[in-house]
Amino acid sequence: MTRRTNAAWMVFAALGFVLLLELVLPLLNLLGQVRWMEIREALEDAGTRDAIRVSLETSLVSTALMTLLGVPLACVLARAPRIWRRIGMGLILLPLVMPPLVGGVLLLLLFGPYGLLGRLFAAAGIALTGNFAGIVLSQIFAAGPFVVVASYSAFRGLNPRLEQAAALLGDSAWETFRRISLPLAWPGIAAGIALGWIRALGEFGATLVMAYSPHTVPIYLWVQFQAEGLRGAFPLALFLLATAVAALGAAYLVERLAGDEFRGVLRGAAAK
Amino acid sequence: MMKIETQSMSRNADLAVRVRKTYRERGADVFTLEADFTAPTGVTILFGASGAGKTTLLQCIAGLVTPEAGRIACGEGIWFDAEKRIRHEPAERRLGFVFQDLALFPHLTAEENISYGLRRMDSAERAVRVDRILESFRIAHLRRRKPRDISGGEQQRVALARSLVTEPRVLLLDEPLASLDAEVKAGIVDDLRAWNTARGIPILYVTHDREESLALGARMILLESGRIAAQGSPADVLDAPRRETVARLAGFENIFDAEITGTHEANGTMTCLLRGAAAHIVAIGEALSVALEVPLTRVPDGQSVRVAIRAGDILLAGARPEKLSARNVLPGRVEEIARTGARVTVRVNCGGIRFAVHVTPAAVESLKLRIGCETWLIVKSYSCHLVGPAGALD
Repeated sequence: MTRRTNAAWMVFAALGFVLLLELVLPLLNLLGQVRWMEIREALEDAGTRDAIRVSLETSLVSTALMTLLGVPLACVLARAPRIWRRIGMGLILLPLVMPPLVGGVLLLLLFGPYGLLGRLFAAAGIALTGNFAGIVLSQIFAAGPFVVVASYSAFRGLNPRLEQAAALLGDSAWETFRRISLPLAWPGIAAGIALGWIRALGEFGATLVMAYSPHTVPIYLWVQFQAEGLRGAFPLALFLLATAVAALGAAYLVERLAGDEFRGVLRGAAAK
Repeated sequence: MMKIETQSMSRNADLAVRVRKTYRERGADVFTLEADFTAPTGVTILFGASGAGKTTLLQCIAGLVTPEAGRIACGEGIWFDAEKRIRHEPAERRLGFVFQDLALFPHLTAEENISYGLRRMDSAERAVRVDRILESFRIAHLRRRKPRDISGGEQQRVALARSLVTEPRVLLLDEPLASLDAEVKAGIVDDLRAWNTARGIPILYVTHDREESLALGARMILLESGRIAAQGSPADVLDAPRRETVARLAGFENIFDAEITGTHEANGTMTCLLRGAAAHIVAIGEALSVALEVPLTRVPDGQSVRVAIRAGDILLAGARPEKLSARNVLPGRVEEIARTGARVTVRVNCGGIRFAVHVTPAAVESLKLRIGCETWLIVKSYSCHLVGPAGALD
């Protein structure tokens, strides 16, 4: 009996190991092939610097917007009747499963110069494609769901009686949100923001259609790859990886520190 | 000036409740709660099995749930009136609510939890109030601890203090002591009672624990499938033998109002005189009084108490027994013999007081128990439970 179980485990472990290799080997291989001199050169290249600047600026703006709009949405959905929760979350998950290029086409149809909304903006002299705005719109489309889904789970996880207790102690709905719901849901929300930011930074498909230039890092990586092959793509890929690892680490830390100290800091900030 | 006015208004304002609420619990049929009662100052016990609608009733009063019809008012203040379309938010009702799971804010310390409802007050007065309530509930040493770092009983005290520090006009307690052991429970009940002696607000206390209700309540409302089935003193409500719910929840078949008439330190007992006997003394001409020896507790002479005895704890004897350790031997007459399954309930009249006694069918045979025949009741002192002063918290 035990022997058979062990045999099964061995097979599973072997199968899993193959997948793990496929996931991790490319990373290890990359690190092994990096020529640090070339990276330094690449970072001195004006095109790379511009791409990094554009990527950081757009991703920070889109992450701020996703948070500002997504957290309230998650809060409302978490308290909605079941039917609305299902409809709402279904709609929000749609962009996640959609191929990014398709997303880009859809966005272009709406926001492009001849699109339903784009036309109105164009009449006012505002272009929503091929610029900063186009990049931000693409990033929000692709990464917004991460913030909403994570925040939604965090709000759903709260004991509703805590909010009732706050209301009975004289809090308005706004005060309850600020003093109870937000501080308690914060670790989950913060993790969602971090994930959303990584996704925004790496956004390629929709951006390719909506705003080929100014180049973000992923687009510039593509451009360089076509011009110079792998050698040109290396440094940019490494930059994206490094930021992703950093953001993941930050999200993990936030979750881990969700104990006393972290909440204490947060509460102190909220009280002022 | 304002403060004095609101405080005096908050005193002695009865809570008048009339509600109808239809709802569907998960997987259950549609359920209608329909209740009409007034809770005066002091503790009113809301008693009933789970699913009887007790919690929903509290939620209606608190404004967490909106009834379809009815009116809820505290003194002059109308909180809800379906006809006049009045509905105050929970925050405006100024009531204290202690949830079954307490709902302490996990990210705040005990002190921050307690001062949560006082933030609009100036900080000096807030500090005074918080200090005072920490003192009266004996939790000053827990100030800086988080809820998860303190015991269940202490959490309970923090939750009570958090509600009471706001000087509510009504206090609603939803089985707050259910998870605590008897000793801890008794201490909290004492502190709550002391607190309300000075305030005198209506307290609605939901429980399905019989001893808790007898210890706390002067009045009891029995809720059965969404309707008020009985109300009155806890002893009356719980003693009504026809009420199946009560019988099931109770476990004590004999409850008597009594008075301590003597303390015997050396014997470790007290004498208590059962009330209700006097009226029958002359008429029947039997015993002059029915007195029981009960274990010594710190209750002064003359104090009204309630004595509870399980029917299964009483022995019957066919002749006057002698040389017994049991302190209480009472002569009586059998009035009723009812058999349910393998158990026989014998009702014995002792000087006007009816005791229920559980015996086996075999015992009925060997004692030759018949209606009208004489018998002796034997009750150990330690089978007599003093379950609390009569009219507590009035």
